[in-house]
Amino acid sequence: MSNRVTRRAIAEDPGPGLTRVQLVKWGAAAGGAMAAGGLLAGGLPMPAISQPSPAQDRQVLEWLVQVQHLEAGFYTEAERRGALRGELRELSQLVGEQDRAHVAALERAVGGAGSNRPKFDFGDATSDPQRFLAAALEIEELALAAVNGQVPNLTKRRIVTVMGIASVEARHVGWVRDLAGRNPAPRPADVPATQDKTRAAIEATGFTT
Amino acid sequence: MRRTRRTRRSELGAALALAGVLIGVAVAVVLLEGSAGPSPAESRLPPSPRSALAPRNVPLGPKPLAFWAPVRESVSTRVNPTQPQTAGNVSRRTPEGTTNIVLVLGHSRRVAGSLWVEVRFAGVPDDARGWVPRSALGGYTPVRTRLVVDRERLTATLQRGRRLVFRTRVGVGTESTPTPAGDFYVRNQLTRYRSPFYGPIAFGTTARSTALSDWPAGGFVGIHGTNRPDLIPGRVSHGCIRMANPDIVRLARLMPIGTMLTVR
Amino acid sequence: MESKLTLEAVDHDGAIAEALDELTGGTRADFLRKAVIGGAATGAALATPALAKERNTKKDIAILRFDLNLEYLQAAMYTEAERLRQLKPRTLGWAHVVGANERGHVKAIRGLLGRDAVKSPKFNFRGVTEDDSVFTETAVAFEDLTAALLKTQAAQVDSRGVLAALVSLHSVEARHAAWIRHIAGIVPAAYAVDKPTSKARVVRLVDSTNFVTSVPRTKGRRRPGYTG
Repeated sequence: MSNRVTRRAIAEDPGPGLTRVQLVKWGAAAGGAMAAGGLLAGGLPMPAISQPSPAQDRQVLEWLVQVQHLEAGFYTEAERRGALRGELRELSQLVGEQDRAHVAALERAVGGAGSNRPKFDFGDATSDPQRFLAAALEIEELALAAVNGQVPNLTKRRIVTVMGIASVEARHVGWVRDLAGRNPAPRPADVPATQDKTRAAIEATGFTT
Repeated sequence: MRRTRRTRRSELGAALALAGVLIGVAVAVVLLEGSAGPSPAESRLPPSPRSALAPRNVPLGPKPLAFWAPVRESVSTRVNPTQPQTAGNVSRRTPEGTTNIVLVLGHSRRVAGSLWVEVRFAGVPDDARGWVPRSALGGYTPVRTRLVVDRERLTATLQRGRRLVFRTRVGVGTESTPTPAGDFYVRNQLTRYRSPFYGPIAFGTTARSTALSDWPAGGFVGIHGTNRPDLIPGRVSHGCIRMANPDIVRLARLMPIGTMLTVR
Repeated sequence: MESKLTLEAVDHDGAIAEALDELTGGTRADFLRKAVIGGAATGAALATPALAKERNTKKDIAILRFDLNLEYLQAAMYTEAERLRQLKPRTLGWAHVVGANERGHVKAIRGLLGRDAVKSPKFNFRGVTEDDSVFTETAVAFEDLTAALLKTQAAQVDSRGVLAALVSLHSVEARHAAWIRHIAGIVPAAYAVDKPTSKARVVRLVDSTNFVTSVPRTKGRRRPGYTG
């Protein structure tokens, strides 16, 4: 079988966990067209098309647990500190309960509690009402974008549950924004975030240690 | 046996090659199975496919002149929803057998658990106002066009917003059977009848002839074509607004039911 | 200075172009001609993967048509409510923003369906757009149910691009739902994980409102009886 036919055959059936561009590179390297492989490796970024798979599902869920830890940690601390009053207090309790439930549901789906629980320093964002609202807004928006960014990467089996989490995150966003006097739905379609973008957004909160 | 440097090098080379192959195989296994994934902190998930939609907010647009609604059941209107005094009747059908329509003025009031709305309807001599139960009406459609008939200049002009979209010369009522002045609306359209006197298309309005109060079908003023285009422009009719047949056909493409009619 | 290397020169069997085609959604010929290795334009083009424009499958058309009808209903209801101005200020503010979103959804889905789009039904909102408490209650039901339906549909669609679209709309409907619930004084998020719902359930809600109506017969064929 010629190299050309082999490469095309592989490209048509990528198999689990392997992207087409990775395969092209793989195939090119195996076939000896080192120039092409080198160019891809050296010159261009590698935004491979996602191919859903159970293995990728696992990675997605583990990643989303990380993001949820930021939210759950934030509300848990706010509730513990007990400085908020009125509806903000109610919000921190209910949303905290729901975000902790998200962590539990996602951890269950990957089969057990994940690795490190990241540590955050929220400062007075978990006690001062104005700072609490501003932080909640930032955190909820980035979490929603993160989940939205991953849903299309999932296998069909996981889509409904993770969207069930996404809509609750969106409800949290709507609630917080209305409380903060901001327009809860400024755009007709939400913009998803890549993993990198979310990592940057988490850094930008200033809460990472 | 003593190993020469060359043998050692070639052995080393072989060992390295073997290691390379083993690593390569391990990498291949990892790539192909993907089970031993990177930790969440270092995982590299691909960006998801781009959305097939890129929606943008659509702002509301200009305010309509009014709304019209079909009448679902004949009712007696009220001057005030809380009192029984009537302001006139609204029947379900027009004399032409079409569904009657009213203009909705945009005020609603809940009275004893029911919603009442204020409407404008065919009256004598002008359109009348009164309140009806919301349940007596069908769905609302916005009105964005107005036909202005000038009895002095003998013109009919259709306006949509600020734009003039149609204009023609017309025949109007004589001195003894004038076309009434005032604010009315178009409530039906008739076609495919055989009557050259009315041309190919005729519109019914809520305007009524003041002189011909005994007219069989209520004495309503229509807008229609004619078999006497030689009389246009002129004061020639029993109150109707007549135009040449090509004009009424053109107007029918531009003027929906519910269009406001202002006669000056 | 060596001339810049284009992809065409190195893509011996088109496998690279095939992969990039799927990423950029542009015509392969254009991309190959213009793309320069390591060029900024190439980087930008590859930065957000897009799917090549495919025809919608029958299943996706059916799903999008159903969504379009639901959006027609919501857009028409909120538009009429805003026009009639019989709602309380906060509810009116909601109708203003959400109406713009839903009208945007209508336009976008119609664009995606092209000739496969359906026309809007005629509606009679029976006073729901004129009474604050009934409007609010109805809006909560529609927003909650639309978000639930989109979950089910997301697991059914064939196209990844349509899936991504449903995901982006779904969370906006959930924002709407939380917001109107907040205005109504009920809890914006009742559950930790929202459940999906079926198309049949949504059809039942729409039927129960009796909003969809027939076109009134304002045209006739009788000989005119106007004064002439």
